Amino acid sequence: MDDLEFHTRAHSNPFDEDSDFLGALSGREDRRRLLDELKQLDHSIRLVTQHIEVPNRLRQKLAAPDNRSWLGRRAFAYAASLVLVAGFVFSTMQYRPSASELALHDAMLEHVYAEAPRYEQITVPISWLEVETVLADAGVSLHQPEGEETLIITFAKVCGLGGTLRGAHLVTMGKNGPVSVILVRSTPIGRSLDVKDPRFQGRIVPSNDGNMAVIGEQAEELQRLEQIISSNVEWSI
Amino acid sequence: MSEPPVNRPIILGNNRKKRYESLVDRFYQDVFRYAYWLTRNPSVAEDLVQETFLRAWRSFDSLQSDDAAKAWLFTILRRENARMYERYRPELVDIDDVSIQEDDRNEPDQRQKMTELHNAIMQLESEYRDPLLLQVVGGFSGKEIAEILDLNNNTVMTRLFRARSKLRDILDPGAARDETGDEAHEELC
Repeated sequence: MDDLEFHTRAHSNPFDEDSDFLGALSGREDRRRLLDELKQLDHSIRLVTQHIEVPNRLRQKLAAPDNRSWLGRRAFAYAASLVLVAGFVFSTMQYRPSASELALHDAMLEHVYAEAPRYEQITVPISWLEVETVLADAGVSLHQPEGEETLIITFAKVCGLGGTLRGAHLVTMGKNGPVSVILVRSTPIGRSLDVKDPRFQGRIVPSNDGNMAVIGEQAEELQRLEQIISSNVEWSI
Repeated sequence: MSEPPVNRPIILGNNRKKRYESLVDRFYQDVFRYAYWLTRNPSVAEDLVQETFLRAWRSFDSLQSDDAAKAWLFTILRRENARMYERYRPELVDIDDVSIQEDDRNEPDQRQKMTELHNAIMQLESEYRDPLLLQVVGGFSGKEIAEILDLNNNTVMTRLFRARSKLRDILDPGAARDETGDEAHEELC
């Protein structure tokens, strides 16, 4: 094996155990020194990496299905949806949401439950540029109102809803806690749907080429925020 | 210091939750540390890892083989990073702000060397840093790295060669160039 091939293979994988590679070390102290140095470099990289501190609570945050995790919340959201469906069927005779409208409702509520543990911990506003980037990714734009109506956004992420829809999830602070604004570019629903849930309240509102949801805790005043968002949202063509 | 990863085989069978929990136990620290190198920011890395495992949970049924679990997670991680974070990646984090664990067993000069190596890795372009860390930290073969990065095997080996050459050159300028490898290798590519 010539020096070029040896150098190439040693740098590509110092732990190459092919017999021809190991055989090329025989009687070549310079090659052995180079290989030892490269192995030491790999060892040091592993050492540096092992010293990157893994956040203490990360493992808990990744926990799957238990009372507080995704499956639990999902089941909770589904149960809440069933209550909502029953409510519509038995007490709201004027309007019966379609299956797709209910599916949108379920997906939004489920998503809010899933994201709540994350956005609840964030109180620092993010830049409007970051908000615009997320909105653009979801095919929507929002004009930042001025003065007293200026939106303070602490969380903005593109989210998958129900496995097929793509929307923008923003969170702003209300008087009683975080309030979610979800904007989804999809066929507008027939009419506004109330979110009825033990924890959250709000409305899903058709808006030109998409749907908008404002969802907050039970005690929250949402009407003004709904009006602000509704007046400033634009859907991409 | 965080707890060491639990090295036990991923539980097979229909119990989706147990199988998932086993996968998290086994890989979350490696996934976080790779995410850290990828994003160069611990907070963004934490968000990215949560997104990654959320995606993994949702599509868990598509994971056919436990042997492929780690590569599958790293692929999801890279895809999520590209989708969510690459466009507004924060500035490179100052070394003083990085969550590197202090280890009293390390002598000051050893800590200094580790800091220098950390900075040197950060200086590598991502096209070289990514395959190197997948190999050294992830323990992936050249073929697996090629699949994760969607490159051919020769390109991966070339990038690994250059990654180590550049790293050595950053740490000890001139040392790598004194050898025949890099210059000659350029002619082959």
